[in-house]
Amino acid sequence: MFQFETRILKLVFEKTTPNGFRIDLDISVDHTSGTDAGHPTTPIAIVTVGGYIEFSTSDEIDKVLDGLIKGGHYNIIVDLKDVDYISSRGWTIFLGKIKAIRDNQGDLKLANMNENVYEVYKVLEFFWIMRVYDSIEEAVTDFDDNVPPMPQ
Amino acid sequence: MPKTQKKYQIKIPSQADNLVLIRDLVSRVAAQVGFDNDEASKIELAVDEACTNVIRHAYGNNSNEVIDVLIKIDAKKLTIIVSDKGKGFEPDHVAVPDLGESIRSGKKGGLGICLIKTLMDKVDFEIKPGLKNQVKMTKYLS
Repeated sequence: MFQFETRILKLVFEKTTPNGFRIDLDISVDHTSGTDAGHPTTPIAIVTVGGYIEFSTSDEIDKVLDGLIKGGHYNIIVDLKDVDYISSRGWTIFLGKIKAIRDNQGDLKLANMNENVYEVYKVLEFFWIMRVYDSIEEAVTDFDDNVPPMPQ
Repeated sequence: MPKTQKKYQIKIPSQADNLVLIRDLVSRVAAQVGFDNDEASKIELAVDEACTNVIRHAYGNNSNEVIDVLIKIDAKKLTIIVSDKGKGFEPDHVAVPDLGESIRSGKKGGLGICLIKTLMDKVDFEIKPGLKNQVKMTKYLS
């Protein structure tokens, strides 16, 4: 379970393969909440991911998202700014969390995809399920404005 | 029919850690042939999906088997053939991905074949379980 009192929890997954190639997957979890003109805004977990989300690294994200959900954090933004690549297994990790999150009136939003990742998002027609945002600020605003999640 | 100009081949243990090595080779060859970054990334992802299927499904995560990746280049196209000697599958029976079911069940994976077919211009399967299963993926130079 993640304790947000520490403000930032940073997990770094780094692995060197036997053939000397390094597979990086950096994950950090931040938390944003506060007040807007005296009104409390929605607490949101921002999961920042960098590197390659593929067969051998997707389980790390799976664990982080599971930890957030078990800890009762259902408003989640995944910042993909530094993600080079997401394989189909990586995409299904996100899909697999949607039900638990939305059953608890939360949402999982994706932000800052690069062009290649966005292309696959379109190919797999994930636009029917998850919204994508050009910035974290836009995604946060959607939460604060109570924009409903995409239908499942 | 254009004559094959070059071939590259890598035979590598069926370990997930080796996917990065295969991707690196494929993206370098694709760039060398003249595909732009976007197209090279699509080819790289398609090959990753094919090799992941071999590791997970054909060999059941047994890392002592071999994945064979053959890359052929001619003036008009790049062809990548991923072969294994594991458990086969019926390509025509691979279900169309049901994202709603993936959401409900939380099942991981199941989108790979669909993604390969979408990312590449032509995909052919030759399945002989235990002997040789082959996914042949072609991308044409524009």
